[in-house]
Amino acid sequence: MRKIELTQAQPGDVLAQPIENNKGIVLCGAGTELTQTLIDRFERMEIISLWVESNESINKEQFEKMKAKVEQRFSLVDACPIGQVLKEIVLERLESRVG
Amino acid sequence: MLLDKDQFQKKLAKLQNLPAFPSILDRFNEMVKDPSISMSQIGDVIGQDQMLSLKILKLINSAFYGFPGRISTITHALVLLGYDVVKGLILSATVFEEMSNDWRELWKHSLGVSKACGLICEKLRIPDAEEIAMAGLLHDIGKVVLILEEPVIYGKVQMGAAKHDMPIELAEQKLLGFDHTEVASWLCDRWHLPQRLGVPMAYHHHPESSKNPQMHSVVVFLADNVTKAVGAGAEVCSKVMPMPAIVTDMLNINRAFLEQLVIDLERELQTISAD
Repeated sequence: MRKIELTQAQPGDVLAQPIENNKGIVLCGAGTELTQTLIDRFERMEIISLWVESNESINKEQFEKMKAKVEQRFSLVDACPIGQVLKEIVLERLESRVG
Repeated sequence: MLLDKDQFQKKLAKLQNLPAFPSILDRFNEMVKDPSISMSQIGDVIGQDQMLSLKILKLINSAFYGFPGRISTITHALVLLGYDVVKGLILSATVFEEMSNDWRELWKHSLGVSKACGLICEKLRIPDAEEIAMAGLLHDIGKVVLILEEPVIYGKVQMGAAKHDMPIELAEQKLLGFDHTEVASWLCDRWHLPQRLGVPMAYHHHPESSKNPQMHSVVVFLADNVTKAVGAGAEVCSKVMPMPAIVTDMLNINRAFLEQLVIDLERELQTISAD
């Protein structure tokens, strides 16, 4: 995700963090897809910046390097079932980023 | 051994490389013990040190899941989090500040573990989440002090761990005769930290051997491992460790839980990188 100024927000951007008012009440949750109406509303509320999801894809070479680092991190958990599950999850998420 | 255990322990009593620290924490301890001094007065005294207060409040907003932007004064922090957690925050704000940029990774890792503790407690409805998150923030404080007090020797320990592809605590035992969790225990005595913080700091690698509160140790252990798993370990603590049976005995975790934890933690960690 990345932090952007409200002026950079576009319809279709997805909120990565909730928008709260100054009393801490959530107005718009993470995962909301922004519309022009919402952006205009935030502008009237004087929201200055927000976090949106960004597409962080990687190429195959980057993937192989990152995969090698993951293997090294998990080198001590070959015999640990939970460790192996955790490793699978991390590798799956890494694979999903290959563009 | 590269260090004499007794001599290092004596050195810790002086802690020459942490000049900012002793006076404010000693003053804090004195005030807490005095029943005639209110929380608000303590908050005011700490609040007078603007730099320290800012660091503490920034820490609260970064480290503690669920509190962002809602705690704006030290007194408010004392009321919501309690003396022990605020004491830990004072420690973190001063001790970690002394580290050079080379070791910022260790700071980010500690913050990551703190966030992971908060997430685990929230998902599994484990009580004392802020206390456990504080223990998460401080879990590697022993390494910080070893780096500050004996940078050359600890550099050798780190190289030894990397060369033999072993966890840092094993290299510490082999080369120093003690490890950073023992240093944390000595520091907890020195700083009068309560058992509820000291126990998970001492047992975060071996929760199966932990005294009570054992749950604190188990959560910090899992949080530490998951933070390393997603790549937010530091060079001095990057290996995911095998998980003892106590983790599944005490925590109701399955693949779905771990997957969501990884997703949420990765999201939280991005806010740290952006700071």
